[in-house]
Amino acid sequence: MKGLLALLLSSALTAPALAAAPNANAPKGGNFVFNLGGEPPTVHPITATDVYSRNVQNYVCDGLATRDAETYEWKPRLAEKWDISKDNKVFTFHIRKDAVFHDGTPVTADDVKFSFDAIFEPKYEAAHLRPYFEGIAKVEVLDPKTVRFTAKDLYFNNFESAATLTVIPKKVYSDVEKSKKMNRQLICAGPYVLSKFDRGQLITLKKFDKWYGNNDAAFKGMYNFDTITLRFYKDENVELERAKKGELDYLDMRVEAFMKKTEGAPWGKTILKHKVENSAPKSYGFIGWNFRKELFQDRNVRVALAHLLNREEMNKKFRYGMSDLANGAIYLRSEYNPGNKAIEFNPKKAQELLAKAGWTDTDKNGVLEKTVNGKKTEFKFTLIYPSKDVEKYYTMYREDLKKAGIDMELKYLEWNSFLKLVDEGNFDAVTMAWGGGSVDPDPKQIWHSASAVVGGSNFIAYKNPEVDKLIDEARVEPNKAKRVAALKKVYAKIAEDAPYAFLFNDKYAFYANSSRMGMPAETFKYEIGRDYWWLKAQ
Amino acid sequence: MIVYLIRRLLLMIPTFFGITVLTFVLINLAPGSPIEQKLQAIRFGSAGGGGGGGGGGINTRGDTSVNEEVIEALKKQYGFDKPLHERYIIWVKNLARLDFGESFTYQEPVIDVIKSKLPVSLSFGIASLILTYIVCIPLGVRKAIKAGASFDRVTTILLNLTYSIPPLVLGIFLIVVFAGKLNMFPIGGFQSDDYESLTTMGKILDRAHHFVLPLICYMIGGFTELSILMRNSMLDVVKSDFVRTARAKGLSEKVVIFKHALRNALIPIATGLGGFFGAFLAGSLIIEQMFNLDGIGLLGYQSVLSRDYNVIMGITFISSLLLMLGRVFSDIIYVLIDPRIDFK
Repeated sequence: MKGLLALLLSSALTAPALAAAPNANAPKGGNFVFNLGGEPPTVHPITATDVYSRNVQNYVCDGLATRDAETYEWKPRLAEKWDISKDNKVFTFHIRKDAVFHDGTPVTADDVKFSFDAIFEPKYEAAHLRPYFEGIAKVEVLDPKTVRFTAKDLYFNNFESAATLTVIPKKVYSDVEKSKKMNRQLICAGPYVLSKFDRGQLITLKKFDKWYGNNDAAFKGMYNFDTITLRFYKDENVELERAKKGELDYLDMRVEAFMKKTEGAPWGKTILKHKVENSAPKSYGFIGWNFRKELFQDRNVRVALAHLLNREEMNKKFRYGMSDLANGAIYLRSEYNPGNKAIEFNPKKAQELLAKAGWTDTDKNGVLEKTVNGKKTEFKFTLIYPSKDVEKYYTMYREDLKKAGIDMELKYLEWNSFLKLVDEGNFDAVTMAWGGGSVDPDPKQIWHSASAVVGGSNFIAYKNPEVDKLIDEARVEPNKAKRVAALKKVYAKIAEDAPYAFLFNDKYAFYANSSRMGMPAETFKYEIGRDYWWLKAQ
Repeated sequence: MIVYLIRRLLLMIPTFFGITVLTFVLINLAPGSPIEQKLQAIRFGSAGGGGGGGGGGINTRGDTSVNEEVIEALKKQYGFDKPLHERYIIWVKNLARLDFGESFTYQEPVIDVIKSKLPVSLSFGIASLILTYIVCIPLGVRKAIKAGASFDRVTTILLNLTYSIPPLVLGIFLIVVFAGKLNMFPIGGFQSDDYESLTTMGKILDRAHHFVLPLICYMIGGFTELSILMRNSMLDVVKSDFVRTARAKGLSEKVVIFKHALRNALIPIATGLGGFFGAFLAGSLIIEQMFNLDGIGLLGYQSVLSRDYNVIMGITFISSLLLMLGRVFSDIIYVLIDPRIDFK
C-alpha cells in the first residue's frame, strides 16, 4: 500500500514535467517580426490607454512581479522577493540590486513610489489608471531598495495592483512638460529597449544588454531575439499576404481565416498555423435582458428566451463548430466555473415556461400576450447591437422567437450611440461580449448591484442580494481555495437567474508562425508564450 | 477682378464661421466624447463593438468601477467643464494664434499630428492629380476625334468598367495578384525599411515602387470622369463655328485640333485645377487602411470614431480653407484662360 502511495505521489510530482518549459539552450539572436494589429497613438507609460501600446510596454517595461505563463504563480521581476503582512494589507518589495533603467540609472524604491504617485497627480493626466490602484492607500520608501505598499482594505487583488505597477524612472518622467512630449519614447527597465518608432511604419525593439534577467537563471530561455520589429497592419488580407511572403513571424488569427483563407502552399510549409487549447480565459458573448423592464423580471421568461436560442446550430453554421456553448458568466474551463449545464435549445420547454409566466396567445394572432397592470400587453422587444457581424445570429434567433410567438426587432447602432443607450439603461435587450478577464476573476464590476449605476458595467441592473453578499465576502478572502468555493456559488446563482442568454466561449486560440521559429510548445497553459520562442539555425 | 477677389476673400470669413460652428456643434451633439472614450478604455479595455462571441472585452485587472472624482478629473483635463459656446470661443481664440489644440488620442499638438500625416496624402494627391491630367487630356482628345469609332466605344466601355470597380475590391485584387502571387510590388507601406540607407535615386525608385498599386486605386475613379469630360468638351468645341471656319480655311486637322480647338476645350478642365489645393489633404480611408499608409484619410476617420474633437476641427478648418482658396484659384484660372469672362 505504501509503495502504491509512493508511486501515485511520484507520478503526481512528475506530472508538471509534461507541461511546457522554456528551452534553456535556445539560441540567441535574430529579428522577430510580428503584427501589432494597429499603431499605438502613444507609448507613454502613463497616458497610453490602448491595447497596442500595452503590447509594446510588455516588452519594454517591467513591474515588480509577474505571473508565470505555466503555473500562474507570482514570479520575481524587478523585485527579487517580497513580504506580505499577516493581515494581507501591507506588501514590502525588495528591489534587485542589478536592476537598471534603459538610461543606465539604477531602479530604486523612490522610482516605484514616483510611479505610483504620478497616477494620482493631476498634472500627469492619468485619471484612467486610477481605478486600478484605488485599493492602495500609500507607497513608502523604506530604503533605496525597499518599498512598502499599504492597502486601504482587504481586497484579494491589491497585491496584483502593487506587483504589476509599471515602474518608470523618476529622473526621466518627473518633468511633466518634458515627459508629455515623449509619446514615441519609452524609458523603462524591461528586457527590450524601444529603439525606433516610425509613425505609420514600424516600431523596433532592441535587446537591453544591461537587463538584470540576462544573467539570471530564472529567465534562461526567454527573450531570445536580438531585435523585435512590430508592424501595424489592420487589414486581414494584407496581414495574410505579408505572412505568406515571409514578412511576418507571427500573427493572431480568426477562425474564418484559419479555416478558409489559409489553404495550400505556403501554408504548412513556410508558414505554420496552430489551433491550440489553453487555460487563458476566453471571452463570451451574451444577450442581456434589461431588468428595469417588466418584461424581463420573471426568471421563467429569461430562461425561456435562452431555450429559444439555437446555439448548437449557430456554432455549426457560423463558427465551424469550434466554440463551446457558454454555461454562464465565467470561462467554461476556469476553476471558478461551477460546472452547471448550459441551457439547451428547447422550444417546447420554452413554451411551457412562458405559459407558466402567464404568456399565452389567446387571440391567436401569433404573438403571445399577457395582462399587465390591467392592460393587454404583447410580447415584443428590441435587441440593440453595435456590430453588423452579429446580424446573422440574431436573424436566426428572431425566426425561432417568432415561431414561439415572440416579436423581436433588431436595431443596429453605431458604437457611441449604442453605448449611450446602454449607459442610460434605455433599452430592452442588448448584445455584446465580455473579454476573458482575469484568471482570478472579480465579478463585482459586472454582477454586483453596486455596479448597476449610470455608466456602470451592470447595465442590465441585475440585483441579487445573495450574489452581492457572496461577492463582497469573496473579495476580501485572501485564501484562494475559499474564494474559489464562494465564487463558484456566485456563478452558479447567476447562471440560475439567467440574466443574460449566454452565447459562446472560444475553445481555441488560432495563430500562425513562420517556420523560422522554434518554440518549446505550441502553447503554455496561460498564454501562447512568444517570449520563449527563438530563431532556428538556418 | 481685384474687387471681386477681395469680396470673395471677405466672404470666406462668414463661410468659415458657418462651417466650423456647424461642425463643432455636430460633433459635440453626437453621443460619446473624449471623456467617454477614456471611460470606455477603463471599462472595456481597448476593445470596441463586440458581438456574438468575440470582441468586446474588459481589462484583466479587476475592479474598474469609476467614481465621480475620476470623471470630474477627466472633464477638467479636457476642458469639458465649460459650456459649449465657451469652448468654441476658446477654440477660435487659440486658432488666431494658429494653435489647434492638442489631440486627445495622440496627446500631441494637432498641427504636429496633421503634419506627420501630410507627406503621405500630399504625395498621393499630387501624383494622382498630375498623372490623371497627363493621361486623361490626350485620351479625351483622341476619343473626341474618333467619336463613335471603335476606339471611342471600347475605351468608353473600359472606362465605365474601371469606374464601377470599388477601390476596396480593386485594392484586394492588386494586393493578392500583383503583390502576393506575382511578387512584383510591395504589399503596402510608403517606403522600405532600409529607405534611409538608400541613394537618392534608390529612394526615388523605392517610393515609386511603393506608389504603383495604391496610386491605381486612387486614380481609378477620377480618371474616368476627367477623360469623359475632356471628350465631351472637345466634341462641343469641334462642332462650333470657329472650328468649322478654321477647317474651311483649309488648315490641317492637326492645327485645327491642337491650336484652335484644344485651348477652348481645356477651359472646363483647367478650372478644375483649383482642386489642386485639395490634393494637400487628399486621403482615402479605404486605400490608406488597405495599403497601410498613414495619411489624412485614416486620421480623419479614426478621429471621428474616437471623438478626437480637436483633430476633427483642425482637419475641417484646413480642408475648408483649402477648398475655398481652390474655388478662388479656379476663378482666376478661368479669367486667365478666357479673357471674355469678367467677374464684377
